[in-house]
Amino acid sequence: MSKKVGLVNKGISLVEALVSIVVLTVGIVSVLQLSVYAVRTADVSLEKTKVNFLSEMMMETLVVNQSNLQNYQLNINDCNYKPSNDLQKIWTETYKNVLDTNTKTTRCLPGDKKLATITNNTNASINLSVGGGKQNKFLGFSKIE
Amino acid sequence: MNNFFKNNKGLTLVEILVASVIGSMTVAAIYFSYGVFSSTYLGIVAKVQVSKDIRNALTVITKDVRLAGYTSKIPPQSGGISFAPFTTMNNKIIIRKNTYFNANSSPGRYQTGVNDVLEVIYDRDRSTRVRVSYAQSNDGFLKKRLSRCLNADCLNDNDYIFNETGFYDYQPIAGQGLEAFKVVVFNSSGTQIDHSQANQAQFIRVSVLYSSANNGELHKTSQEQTFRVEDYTFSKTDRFFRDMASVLIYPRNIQPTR
Repeated sequence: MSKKVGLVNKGISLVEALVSIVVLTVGIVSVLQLSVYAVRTADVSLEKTKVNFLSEMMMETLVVNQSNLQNYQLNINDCNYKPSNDLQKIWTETYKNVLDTNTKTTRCLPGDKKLATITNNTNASINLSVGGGKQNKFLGFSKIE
Repeated sequence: MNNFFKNNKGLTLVEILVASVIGSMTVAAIYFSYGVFSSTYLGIVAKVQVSKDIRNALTVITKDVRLAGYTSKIPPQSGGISFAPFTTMNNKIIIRKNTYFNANSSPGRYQTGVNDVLEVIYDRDRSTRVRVSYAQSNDGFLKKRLSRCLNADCLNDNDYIFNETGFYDYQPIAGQGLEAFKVVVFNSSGTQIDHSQANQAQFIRVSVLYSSANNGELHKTSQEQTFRVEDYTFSKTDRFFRDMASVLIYPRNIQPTR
């Protein structure tokens, strides 16, 4: 029995060592990916905060300026902030400043939307999407006549 | 048992070398990972702090601006004291440029000197009319000053003296790191108007730019960052993390020239 123990105790081979290194590397890389994901999540959280403020801004102007509801119809499906009138210009300027600032690398991505849909001059719905359309914010409003 | 010790010949030099290499790689990987995890954690904390500061600042300001001009006293048409908006010293909203602070920079921070001051007046209850001021302080805080009106009519700046504790001080409402505080006024047509024309205000847009408290967690080397905060382009090259947000507010209780 004692002899067997001595014979079996040969240590690890080079192949086993290499395999263990690979396994260890894969584990470390996986955890590093997790930290990258955490940073991205913090970014998304910041974007959501901004979008919340922006959507409240849009809703506030609609609620208080009901006589001009029709002028707020907005359909921006790209990254060109083209307003139809001065009232919309306030919105689009804010989008550009807040969402697309630090313009070294633009934050507006294909798929982002800024929509304000006015129906029958009484109902309004807002859809803001950022992050390439991944993060959406919807708000609605009905005028009481 | 004796044989066991006799057969136990120890490790060869090659085995020891291989084990050392593997051990070194493991320790190096752990060391490297610790550095990455540590900086990532601090970076996330910095981003969250900026986000929180922005949210706090804009939420508090929004609440006060929405209350601007609210009066709980007898309205003027019923014989009460006039709370007419935008007379010389009786403005519901006073927006001043570069009045209170000279915006000296904090170490490593941008020296602005272009920040605004926002003042709002409203009745907090039947017997207390308050004036709330927001401004960026020299040490990078957005600070709020609350003062009460001691006279019944509240027509002059001098009528607003102390807060509840008997002092006339500024309190920070969000973390240190405010780098730009801008207020823009729009009339009912959506046209931006000058601060001196605040009596025509329909909407007020407040923008804040915050930077992180710690230098270098996210940007290992200096990085150029450009922000457009209203009519002012902010450009800085350093290792701080920055972000900004705006909120457009409708002062509900003001009846200007609409």
